[in-house]
Amino acid sequence: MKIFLVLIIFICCVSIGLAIKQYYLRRQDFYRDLFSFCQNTKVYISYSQAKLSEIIEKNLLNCKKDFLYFLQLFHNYLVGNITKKDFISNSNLVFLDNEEREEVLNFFCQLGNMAKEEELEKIEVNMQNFERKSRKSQEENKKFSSLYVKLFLVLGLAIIIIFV
Amino acid sequence: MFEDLFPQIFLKTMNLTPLDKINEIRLRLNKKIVVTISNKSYYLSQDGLTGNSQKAMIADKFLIEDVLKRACENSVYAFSDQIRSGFITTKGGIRIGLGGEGVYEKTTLKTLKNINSLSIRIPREIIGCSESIMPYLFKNAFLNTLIISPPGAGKTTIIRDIVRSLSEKNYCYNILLVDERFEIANCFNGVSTLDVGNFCDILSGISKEYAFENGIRSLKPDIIVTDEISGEKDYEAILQASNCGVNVLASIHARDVEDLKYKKGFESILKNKVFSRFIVLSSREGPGTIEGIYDEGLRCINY
Repeated sequence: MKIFLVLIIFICCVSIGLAIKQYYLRRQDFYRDLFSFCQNTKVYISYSQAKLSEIIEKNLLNCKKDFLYFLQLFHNYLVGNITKKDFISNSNLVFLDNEEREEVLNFFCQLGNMAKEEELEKIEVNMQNFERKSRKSQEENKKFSSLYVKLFLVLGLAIIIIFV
Repeated sequence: MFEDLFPQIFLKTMNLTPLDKINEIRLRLNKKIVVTISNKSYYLSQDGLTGNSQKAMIADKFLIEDVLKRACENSVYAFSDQIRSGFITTKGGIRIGLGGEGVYEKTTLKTLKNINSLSIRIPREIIGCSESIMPYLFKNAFLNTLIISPPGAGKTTIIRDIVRSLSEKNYCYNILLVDERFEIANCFNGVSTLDVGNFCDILSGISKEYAFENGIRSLKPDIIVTDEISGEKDYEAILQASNCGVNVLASIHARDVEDLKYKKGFESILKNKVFSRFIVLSSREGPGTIEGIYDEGLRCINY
């Protein structure tokens, strides 16, 4: 019984470590895809003034899971399949804090509402911000993700050693 | 056509009207919604069309913004140039005239803001509407033709049908269609959604000046077709095209042939007898009513 409990605790510790690693990885991937989306959007709008739904369809191919889901949800909102309220509530940006979430949602909700020059300016400003966040999240992922995995693994092992 | 433009709630009411007969819908901020069918105006109510203004629905800010957003396909930047010109052309050739406030940068109009009225005009493709006038447009070869009409009298519909007829009857003319406002062929993603026949090259969203100069060189047309010529630059372009040996089919806003004499810059066109045929249209018996056909000397030859 004791060994079973200790094993559970060990598995929990390792799971927590992996979950934290996933958190940093998701943030890194999301911001990288978001920055790339901004770059592509800027190009499409500058050169061909492509419609937003076309731009999104072209971007869907190169995204990781979280951004892909988010972009598909946004596309559904754009074409009128879901309301703005549903888009915001189902966006599933749990790996971002409140301020970051609001920043991203505001950016997307205002996308496509301005004349060309203003739209490009707005995208450029946000793109710089997302680039900073992308770099920061990459550094955090590099620094903390494996650290936390090892930390919780060691914690789990320590608990085994102490109690067994 | 209307599903992409109007929100669901509004569509339910619109479906109570004879959608296939509507010429125009006017949405003015905080004013009653007006629908025009065959030059008669009606109010739109919850139960459909009515003459009773008390029952009329009001166009609020949300409706106007929603329609505008849908018309721009959520991409206002893609329509910046059109908005600056005071209109948007959507899928299906629907032209939406805009009323609002101008935003200037120094002396240049940048855009419109606070859009407060939408004039939604629905194109009606009427196959065969030019049949009665086609014989007058030829004398051994196609004659340079000018369609004269006030706004809303069917000149774009007639021009479209003439272009289609020129292909269908196998005249084998290469036609360059200069569709500056996307109204004649209404190209969507490069494909024309309205029938302009098999012998037509289309330049959409491009100024007449550019299209005439470069289109003649690159596409070698036999006939250049354009809509709503106005101003000296357009007249100059027409003159140049004619001097290059390319036939011209165009339209102009005017009441009748006499009005042409008072249009600034048009004298050179009349003096050089660029056009051999003038077709005058009106809405007297509905849009597309042919009032008269005139020759190069402005003499009436029929109607």
